[in-house]
Amino acid sequence: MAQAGEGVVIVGGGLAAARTAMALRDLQYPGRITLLSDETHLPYDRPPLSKGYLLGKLAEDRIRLLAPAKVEELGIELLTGVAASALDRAHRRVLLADGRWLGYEQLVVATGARPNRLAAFEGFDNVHVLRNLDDADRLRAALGPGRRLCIIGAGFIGLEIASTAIELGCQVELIEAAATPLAAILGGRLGTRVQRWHEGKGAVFHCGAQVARVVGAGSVQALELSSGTTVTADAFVVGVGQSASIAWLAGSGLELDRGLVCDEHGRTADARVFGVGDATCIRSGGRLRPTRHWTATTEQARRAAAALCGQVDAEPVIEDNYFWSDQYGLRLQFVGRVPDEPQLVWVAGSEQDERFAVLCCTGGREKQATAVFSLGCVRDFLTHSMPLRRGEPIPVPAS
Amino acid sequence: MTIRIKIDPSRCEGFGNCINAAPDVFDLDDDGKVVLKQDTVEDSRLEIVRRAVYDCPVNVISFTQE
Repeated sequence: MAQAGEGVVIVGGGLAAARTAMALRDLQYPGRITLLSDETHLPYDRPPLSKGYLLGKLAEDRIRLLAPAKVEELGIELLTGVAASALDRAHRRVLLADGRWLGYEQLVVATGARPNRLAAFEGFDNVHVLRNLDDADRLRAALGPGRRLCIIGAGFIGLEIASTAIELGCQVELIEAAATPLAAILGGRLGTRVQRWHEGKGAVFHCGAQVARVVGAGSVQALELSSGTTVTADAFVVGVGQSASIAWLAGSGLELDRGLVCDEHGRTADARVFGVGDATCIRSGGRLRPTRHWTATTEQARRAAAALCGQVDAEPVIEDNYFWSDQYGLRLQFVGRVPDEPQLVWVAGSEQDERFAVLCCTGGREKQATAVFSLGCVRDFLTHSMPLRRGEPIPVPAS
Repeated sequence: MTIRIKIDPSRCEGFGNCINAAPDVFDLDDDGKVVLKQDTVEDSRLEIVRRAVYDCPVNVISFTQE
């Protein structure tokens, strides 16, 4: 049985876990906080893994979310290198992979996500994914001047790796199933704009392409595409999305969908169990949405910590879909949702400039901006995106 | 009680997330580094200050209550 004084157990060692622990102490939570991570590293921030860390510009101590001094200051007990393998809610305890049980008064599920894999690429020694620090170290060792890198999936992670690999002197080819990179997020016209920018830096794209055959023994040597094209490379990255790491909750009786189902305050049907970050999906307004982005996770952590302390933040959650990326030394920023057949209104630079900021507007007489995308125009992005991030309409300049 | 805000601009990478949380407190200078428009705010704005702290990807912002 759980003992009094067991406090909050946070399962996970990433952003969601670290920010929840910080927020609990900010709220003067007096009890024990135990952070259980299957990684051997102190909690670190993941976005730099495909950028500054992969490039070799930022060392591990520069991407930490909780430095050793902070762990001590906050009074957090860290259990690293051990995974949770099951949850026994009846006895309020977590089964660890090494057979031990860990009791809790309140539990936070913050186990994050794992990269999706492709069966045809399993069992080869030069195939990479990128989610954690060890993945980044392994990928870094495969990059260097003249090395050929092939990336399957031209989403954000694929494009960031492409940018870093090109900066490191690699030859990069990307294979994307959709007609353009980022088509589902930015729409075709801006997706094409991003593709041309990458092509200008030396990347080669195969869009609307499927991998028909993986050629090699031990190592992948080449990919045959459905178009008949063959792509050869020294190393391959599979960057085709991620799925919540919730297998350990099977049999727990908690509601699982694309993640642990929580409300906007991280609460589940079990009053002692909460969820934060990529491991969760949020039920709101009768639908489920995944938690995908960095600031959405920090906001969720702040709210969940309050709920753990018996407080509920009455401010409505604004689902702004905000995220950023850094590629070729420029910052990409996006907020909102691009409408079907958007009208694009440039508010900085133009379609021909390397740096620009653009409003994505609905058509018709009542032109309304529902998304902002910027490449290298941080100030303009701030000015134009702030209303949307507060749930207010964006003024559209007369064209 | 008031909240005293501290920043470390040398770590700032100009994300601007803090400005989104509290535009009357934070701004970016011409080099894209964070500056404070005011370094103390009322206690009633604690949650907004916390949001700025947690939303900073490079841990630039801290605060004390006094």
